[in-house]
Amino acid sequence: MLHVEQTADHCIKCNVCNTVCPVSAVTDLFPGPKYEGPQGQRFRAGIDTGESPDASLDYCSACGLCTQACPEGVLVAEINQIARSRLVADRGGLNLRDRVISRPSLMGGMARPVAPIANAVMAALPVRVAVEKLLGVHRGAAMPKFSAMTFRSWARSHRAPADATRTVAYFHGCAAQEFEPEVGAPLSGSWSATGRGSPSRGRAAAGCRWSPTATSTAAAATPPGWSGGCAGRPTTPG
Amino acid sequence: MRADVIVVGAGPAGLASATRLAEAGRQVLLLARGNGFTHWGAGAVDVLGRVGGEPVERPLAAIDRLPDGHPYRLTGEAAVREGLDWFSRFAGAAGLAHAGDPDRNRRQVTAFGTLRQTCLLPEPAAGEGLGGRVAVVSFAGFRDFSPALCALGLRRAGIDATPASAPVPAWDHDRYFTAVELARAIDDADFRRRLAPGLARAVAGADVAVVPAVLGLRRGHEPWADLQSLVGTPLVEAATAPPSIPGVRLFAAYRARLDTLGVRWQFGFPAIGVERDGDRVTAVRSEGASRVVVTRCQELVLATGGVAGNGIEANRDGTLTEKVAGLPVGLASSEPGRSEGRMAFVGARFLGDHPLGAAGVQVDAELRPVDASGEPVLANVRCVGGLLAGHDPTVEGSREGVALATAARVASLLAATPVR
Repeated sequence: MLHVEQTADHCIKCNVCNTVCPVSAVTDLFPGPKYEGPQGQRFRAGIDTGESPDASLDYCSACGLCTQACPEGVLVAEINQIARSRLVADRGGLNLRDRVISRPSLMGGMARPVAPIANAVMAALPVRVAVEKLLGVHRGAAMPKFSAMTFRSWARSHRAPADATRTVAYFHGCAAQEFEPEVGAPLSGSWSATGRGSPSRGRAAAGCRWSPTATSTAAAATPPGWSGGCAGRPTTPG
Repeated sequence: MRADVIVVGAGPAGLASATRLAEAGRQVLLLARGNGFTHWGAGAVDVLGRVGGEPVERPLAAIDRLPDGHPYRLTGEAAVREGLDWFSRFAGAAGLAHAGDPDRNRRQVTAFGTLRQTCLLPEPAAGEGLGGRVAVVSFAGFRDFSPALCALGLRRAGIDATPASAPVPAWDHDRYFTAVELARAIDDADFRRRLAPGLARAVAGADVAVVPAVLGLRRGHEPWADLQSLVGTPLVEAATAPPSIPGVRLFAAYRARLDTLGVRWQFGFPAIGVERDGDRVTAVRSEGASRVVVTRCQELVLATGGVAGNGIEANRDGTLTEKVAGLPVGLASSEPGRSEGRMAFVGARFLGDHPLGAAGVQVDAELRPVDASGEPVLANVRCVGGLLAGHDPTVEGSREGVALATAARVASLLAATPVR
């Protein structure tokens, strides 16, 4: 078994990873997983001191599609995450922005009792300008809305139907828990043994019982396009 | 987990096999280590370019001259023809119509200005009989295509070719850009309208223009056709360095079709072994996120490729290993005096033929792997595409043809098997 960074030697420069990268598709600030990963790796290997050559690593969204697409088994995303951890260490640790946005439960917990007010405040342009100056989050960047109810509290208040015969474990992510419980609710209801899921909020469909289970990594590992924990819109069961 | 048929590999053979098996009513799980040859190739369908080192003009008529054990001899000409017909229908329905017919080889312009032999060509590449005044044009800021190099090659082939450069209108990218970025931009009709005037000036006076294969990514051949009519000069796409945009288009078409057919697929999770019960494979072991995943199956189709495709490992001690099921791998007889260990892999000349290129799994007429005595070793395993022994897809120019012919064969074999 090769060490993660050693897999860079398997890169054949085919560029397949660059064809799937959602970040380099929309900004020049990220040159693409190949250039950051296997290509950049040669500039990092053996260099323990000095500045990292690639601050653009910060733009990697860590979706992992590059590793999935690689035909040679290069762990592109993992190489970039290791390099990124070194970049962060070089800077003396996480900056304020990353400390804040990597704690959705803390943010959600603080804002939940005053969710409507918090959302109104966060939508105000002067606040966004201040956040941009202070944290480096662009004033136009989409922000999740705080929810007055968590997914787990929604789940506790909804009992499985009496005729349920099976149990489904739903590994919700932080987004469903803190910001979009309405994403998880119909998803839970759609698992009907008969295939006739009810998308309505507040009722699990007949046929199955389910148990919500928290996971800290599910949201981060979810690829774009999958309408699950960290996607923006509730799914409509078919 | 459980599947009816597991197809391993997402190159030309795996994609075609998975699609055809699903069309034949099987429930298919496609397992792949990553993307395959679609993203590296020239985006055309090679059927048979050379036999015994000699160029072939009529590929199907040349099948009789192939040695016994060649995949085409096992499938027969009818399966080759049927596989190509199926592909033409599939590609056409996906907006990626191909030109050409199986009875005659054609030429495809490459970035080097060479005319490579192939059979079916995507319509934007089908510049058959390239003649008159040819402008070879690239886009300023695109670094993967040199008009001067391409034009030089074409002039050597007796074609009146002149290099030129077309400006790219103001857009999202302020430095250099890649083929994917440019192709994505060209999908947009408004971008094409802004691109066309500069391109028209660059090709002024030419009868036909050769451009890198970047004219659109997700809209089939429509961006090419539209840009061609805006410019007013026939545009011929030349095959470029990877990633192959025509190949990415084709891959996307397969992916859409597989989704429509309800095929499950898992990318980035390579198959690493099988579980057996007697002469049957009962399950495939694949790498999961943090553990080995075991998926039970009725049938297994291996489309993992040869040595270059990662289906076969060439070991330092001179042995060869088939990486999923540990099937016996054969190496064509090498030159006398060069059979010691690893030296048996290579020929005497660096740019000559190498036995390793034709290394593969020997199969019977039903594409089941066989041992040295010709007896099937596993009853429910079929091998397709580059994994098969008896052919060197690169040297003889047969990669996509073998993939499609063996996919046709496997679909007809397994469609006849009742689903349990």
